[in-house]
Amino acid sequence: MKRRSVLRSLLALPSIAALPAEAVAQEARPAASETPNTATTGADASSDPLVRMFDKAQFSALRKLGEILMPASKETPGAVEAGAAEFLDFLLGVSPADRLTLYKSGLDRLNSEAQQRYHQPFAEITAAQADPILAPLHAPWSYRGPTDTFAKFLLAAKSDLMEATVNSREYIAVAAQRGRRGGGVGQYWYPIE
Amino acid sequence: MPDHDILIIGSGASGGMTARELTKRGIKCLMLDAGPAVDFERDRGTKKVFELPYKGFGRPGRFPHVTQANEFNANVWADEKKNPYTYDPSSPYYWVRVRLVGGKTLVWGRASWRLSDFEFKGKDHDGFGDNWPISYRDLAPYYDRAEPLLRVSGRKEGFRQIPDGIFLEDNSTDSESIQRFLAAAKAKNVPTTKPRRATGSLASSVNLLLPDALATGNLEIVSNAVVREITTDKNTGLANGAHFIDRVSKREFHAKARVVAVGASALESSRLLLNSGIANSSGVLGHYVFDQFYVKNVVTAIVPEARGGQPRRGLMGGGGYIPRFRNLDTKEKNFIRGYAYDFGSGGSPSAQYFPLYGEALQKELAATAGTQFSMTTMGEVLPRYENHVSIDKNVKDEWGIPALHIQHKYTDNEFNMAKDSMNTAEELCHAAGFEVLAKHWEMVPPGESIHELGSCRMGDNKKTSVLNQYNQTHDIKNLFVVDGSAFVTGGSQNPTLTISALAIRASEYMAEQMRKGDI
Repeated sequence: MKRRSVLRSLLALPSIAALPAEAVAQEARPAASETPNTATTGADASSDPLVRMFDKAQFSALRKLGEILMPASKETPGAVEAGAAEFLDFLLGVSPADRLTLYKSGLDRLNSEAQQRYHQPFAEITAAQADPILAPLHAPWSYRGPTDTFAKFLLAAKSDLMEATVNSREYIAVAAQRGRRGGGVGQYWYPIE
Repeated sequence: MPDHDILIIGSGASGGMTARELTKRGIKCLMLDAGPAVDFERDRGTKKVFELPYKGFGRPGRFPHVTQANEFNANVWADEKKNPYTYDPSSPYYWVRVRLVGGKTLVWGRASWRLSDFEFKGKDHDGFGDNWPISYRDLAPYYDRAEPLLRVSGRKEGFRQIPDGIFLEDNSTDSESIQRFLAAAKAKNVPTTKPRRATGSLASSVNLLLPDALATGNLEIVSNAVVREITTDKNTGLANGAHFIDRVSKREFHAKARVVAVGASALESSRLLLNSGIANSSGVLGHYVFDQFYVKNVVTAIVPEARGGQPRRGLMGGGGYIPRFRNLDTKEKNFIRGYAYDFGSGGSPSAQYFPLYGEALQKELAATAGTQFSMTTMGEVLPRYENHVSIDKNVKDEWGIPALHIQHKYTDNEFNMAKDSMNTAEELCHAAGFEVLAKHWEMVPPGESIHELGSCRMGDNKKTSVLNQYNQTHDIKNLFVVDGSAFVTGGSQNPTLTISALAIRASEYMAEQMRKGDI
């Protein structure tokens, strides 16, 4: 199921957010003497992003990790529905190289651990099977964090997948639909000249 | 071009205050600021986080040293690539700058505490370092003038270490969780008070200081003026203006004036003086850099009664301040001077503190929503000669001006203080009946508190200081440095109020010297 379909099903009722852009423009049709502002749609609301930084096995593992760390609830979309893995593929591609290396090595480790334990890739195992592999996430918090690279990766992924989910168009649309405060709106400073 | 009486470099707290004080006395001022002026209607708007290109993460690598930057406010902070600086990789320094008219007063935290003689006469108290050339009594009348301008709210307490001022009285009631914490602190003889903060929807030089100065007709402000060098008369040695470069076109100009007042912010002002090759007969220009160390969220706790997702009305919310309480009448074994805390009730603990994931984490986050009590330490950093700035001739900014090299390390005195602050915070939270979720004593890197001070300190001795007690350089009588670089010590109090009071005092002196024809 495409993410946009999931979003529409979660929203349940038609709303302004779910209407096509041209419908919005029709309702707010300006008088002939006014200069119209053209309604546009965000690329990620209308098209699927390309995955470029991870190979197929790594990306499948990241998507599965998102499903386990930030699952959908009855009320809100999870990392998969929010396209968190797809967004992180982009973000890590424009991040300092060591961050991408951390992720690639961590995702490879997830797959090798899953193969070693269950003879399957990480994307195919259950959450219960994944729990021992994700044991570093049960370690108590410390300011400097773990020194172990795999544990570092898991903590980074937990934080990034959660943030990418709650900051997504899909999550915020549902939260707004359900009348939740929150989120997602801020005072933005444009480039100042 | 007309000559001006005074050239003011910088438009933040010190530059703005200097302009306000001088223009009302009929003195013609020209102000140069390196950045553009904000048009609040045009330059700000609301956006949804998912509309931002990086969905709230910010462009990776854009601000390696500005932890305060996020994708919403990124355009406020000075571009680190256009405005580079260097440091020894083993001692990172986070230099946080704003290059806009109004400077950092556009974004400051507004905390407004007076220094006391525990700072002005610190050497007399514990033997370390140097005293200021002024005492609290000298500056008190100027604090009295600065606080109403900044509309500071607070509560009078009679504490020696943070003298009372002219406040908008804060009579707000405390939430139950705050009341419990205050009682626990009182039982341990730890003082507490309400925050003292500048109020209003905006509390900046651009709305509180510059409009009054402009209204006199005696102030001209040139934005986008990146000052390269202060110029001096070859015959007299006196300052006679400054060379500056238009930020956008890079065209060069020279502004003339009878007196020059530099308020470009600590470190930036010293960079300008060092690049100009002036005011350094003492050899201490650039030295004695310090700030205040921060241990952010030294303790994060949960108010147990608030668990469940919807804390009852009146239980949570609000906050306060614990002023320095160490080394006032007693003496600690492991450190001199002291630290303060900000504390606050409300908000939700971050997911990072819970060793959980998935549904279990979501349940715990829901259960602890709105339950947080947290404390942050602000500690005094000892001014040391070896902590200094110098010019790095190998690195230049976008306008070809040599960059600053910053050398600043914390020492055992700060580390020991930070540890003590963690233990004390934990003790107080336990005594209040809170569950301590996380604790640490890791200080943020030097500079990150945005309270950089010193590097152009004042003093009575021309051989060990750059400025006299009126912020006037010992070497050039018509050159003043009116910002935080003049500080000799900083205590644990946020410095903007003291910077403002010192700027008023210096301006009054400048005006009198000009009237007498001495400068």
